[in-house]
Amino acid sequence: MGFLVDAERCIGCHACEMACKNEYQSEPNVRWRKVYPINETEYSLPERNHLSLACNHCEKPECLRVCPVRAYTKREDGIVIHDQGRCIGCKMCAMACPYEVPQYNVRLKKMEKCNLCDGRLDQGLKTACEAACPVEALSVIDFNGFTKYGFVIALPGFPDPSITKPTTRFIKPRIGAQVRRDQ
Amino acid sequence: MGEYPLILFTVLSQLSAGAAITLSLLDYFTKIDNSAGKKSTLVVLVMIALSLGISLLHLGHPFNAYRALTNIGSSWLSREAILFFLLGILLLVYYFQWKEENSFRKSLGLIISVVSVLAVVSSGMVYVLPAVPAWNNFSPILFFLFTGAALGPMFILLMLKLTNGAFSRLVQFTAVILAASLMCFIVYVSVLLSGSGASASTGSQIVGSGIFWPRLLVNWILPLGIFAWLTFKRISPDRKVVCSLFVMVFIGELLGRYLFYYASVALKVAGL
Repeated sequence: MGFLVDAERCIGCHACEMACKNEYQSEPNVRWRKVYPINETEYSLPERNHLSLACNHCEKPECLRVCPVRAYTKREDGIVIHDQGRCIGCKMCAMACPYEVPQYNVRLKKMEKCNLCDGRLDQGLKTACEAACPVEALSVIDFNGFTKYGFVIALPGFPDPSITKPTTRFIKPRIGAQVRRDQ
Repeated sequence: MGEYPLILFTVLSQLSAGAAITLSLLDYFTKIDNSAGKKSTLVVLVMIALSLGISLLHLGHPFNAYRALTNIGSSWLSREAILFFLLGILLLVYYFQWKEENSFRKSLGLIISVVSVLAVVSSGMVYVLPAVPAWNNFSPILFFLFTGAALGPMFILLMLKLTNGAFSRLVQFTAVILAASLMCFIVYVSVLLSGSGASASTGSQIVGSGIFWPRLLVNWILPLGIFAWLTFKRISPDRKVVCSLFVMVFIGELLGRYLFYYASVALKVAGL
């Protein structure tokens, strides 16, 4: 399982971020999902595009490898779960994740991250971020039956996917044609 | 509290590991006074316990720290904790072996040396992370080993009354280690600065930091200058000189560790 982020559809409204915070009532300093602006110089023409990211539920999660207390597990469907009950707040996972996903909850003194709304998915519901997206730019894909083409494994600004093999996939934004007046 | 507990923990634990190796090798190859050896073992043991205690202050839940011993299969932090804990236990046994001539103690000393090296290496491996390009190489292990090798022998020199031969050999060893660590540091920073992205940013942060030059001065320039002057004048260093050198290098290592944690730049989403 992983997220499919359609950067062509995303308008950077942050509704996904807010829906996630609302669902889990996370602390003010904690955002499990974040919307990043893509640098406008990354494409041949300046475009305002956004990257909505939460945990990438990587195939080779660094958080799981470095955690000294086995607080991380990977479910059979690929979701990387963080068990706050075991966490001792050593912040090792935050140091090891290239995507700055695990965040420190200053009130609980423990780490936390997106668990891909595992409880909602198990009930057959959509994730909070997917349900809240007004332009349907976010969806959860199951790689077992995923036959769609035209997606990429990284967009500009997304750290090297070869480190942890994230399962997040992206649909690239279409860059418009440049219209010039005749000389 | 930031990373201050980790700065103190890593420097103190590496100092203790270096001192444990020096003590056990001296015990194996030379003759050490029993009471001085016993006292030194106790001090090293207390330092390891202190450093482990300080490391708990970094945790959100220090009373659950015992859980950190459970992921030895993949986590270097678990391995580090277990090895330093084991080193403490071995030193406790070693402490009670300081009686007359004791071959078991000497063999135990060799085991302590191996465990000490492994503990420092595992400390370094904790920071070998692909997410921090400046650390994702041999440098954390190398510089942690240098810390132990520079501070440990000087600490034992101050604890024991050694013969002139052993004393001057250990002083020479420290001077060589300091020179080697300075060379490696220069190469490391040069390589970082010649790179790009997060590595180059780390190099710039190190060189641009306000404590870069003070660190260079107290960790290497002053101690190596004193060593060079003593050699040039053919003066054998006494305990006062070694004590001053130890204080300088210890402060230099603390500053260096501060730079290690605060100057490192990790990979970030949407570039730097």
